Amino acid sequence: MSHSLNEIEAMSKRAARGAGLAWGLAEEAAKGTRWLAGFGYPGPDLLADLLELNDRLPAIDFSPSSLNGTWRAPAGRMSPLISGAAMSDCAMRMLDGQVITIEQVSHPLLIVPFASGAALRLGVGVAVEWGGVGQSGAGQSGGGVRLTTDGKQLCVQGSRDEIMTAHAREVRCSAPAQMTSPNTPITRAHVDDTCWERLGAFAHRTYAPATEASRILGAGAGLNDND
Amino acid sequence: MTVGRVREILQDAYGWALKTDWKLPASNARAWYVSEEKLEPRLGERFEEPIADYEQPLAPGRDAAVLHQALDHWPSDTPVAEFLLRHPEHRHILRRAQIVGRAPYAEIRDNTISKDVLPIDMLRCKLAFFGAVHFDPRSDRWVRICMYGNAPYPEELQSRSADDWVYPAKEEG
Repeated sequence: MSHSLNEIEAMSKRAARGAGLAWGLAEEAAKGTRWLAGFGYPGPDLLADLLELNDRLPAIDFSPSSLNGTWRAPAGRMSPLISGAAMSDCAMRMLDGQVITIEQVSHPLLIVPFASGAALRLGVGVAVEWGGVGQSGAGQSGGGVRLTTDGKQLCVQGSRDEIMTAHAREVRCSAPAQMTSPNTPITRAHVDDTCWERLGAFAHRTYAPATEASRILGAGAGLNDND
Repeated sequence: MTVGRVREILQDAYGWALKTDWKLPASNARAWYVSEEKLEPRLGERFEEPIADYEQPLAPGRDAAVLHQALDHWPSDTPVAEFLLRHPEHRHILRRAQIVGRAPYAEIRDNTISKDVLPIDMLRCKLAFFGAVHFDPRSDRWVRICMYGNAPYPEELQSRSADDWVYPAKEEG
């Protein structure tokens, strides 16, 4: 069914929190999911896949061991949310010509919204690439995927299958990047009911069961509103 | 942004929180949570109800104090990216601190989980943004309001001032 991007962001935030992410990362997950949905990508499905993959596992296992050199996660697969957030936090390095290279990334499309935040701050386009010949990501000519954003629009090169891949051996983030044939975002998105239920199951973990104690202590609005 | 700059912001915007003794039960007697029953945000008693595990990130003062302490032994010139990589649990409050660093009215500068907190003023402020008027508190945790009282109809938008309809002119006679 059709959902507003606000609904998608709210549901994603609760779901990510329910899967054990810290609130700040849950917020990042939610904004990223919303951003992808706004460009017509199934962000909510990707998020549900990722949350199920790493459900309640320690975030540190899927985080870069170090921000120097190529980024690798101790568990052998990298969270796109944690590495994406770190990439955005380190965005200034890309202006200095440094390419941020991240290995063994789960659902790499979830990194791209962070490039958008980085691009807004840097004031230049940021490119995210994966797959293709030599795994460097060379856009359509070499196979592979190249997504470029200036924060407001998104340029896409590559096949949908590769864009939606569940795993990339290597993801490269760089700036400044040229914007070619950009897409502009939309304001609502379709999320299928199964996906909404998967996210809802995670979100449900954040709701406190009502207790007699809470009722006695006056939680919520009273039932009697007569004067 | 560097750890040193974050420290400055914390001392400037959350100075009151750094002076608060958060070990006292009275300082964090309450917790904000979302109830399964109505999916609405609620304020509960942290030490009397099983709600702490469900706490929403709505205690910026306490979180800022915890962050300040966590940063204490970090060199001032370290980028916050390095700190957050190891401590993702502080990402939420660090973002709030960065926002209040450039927008001083962005933060609540009082204890939202104190035993003495009365959320009615925050409720009123928030609801006012939605266009609520005629605040009629029904208890210290919920308030009855009127939405769009005296608001112009679409056909009146051109002929009436849209700025001050919440304060209608006193009727003569």
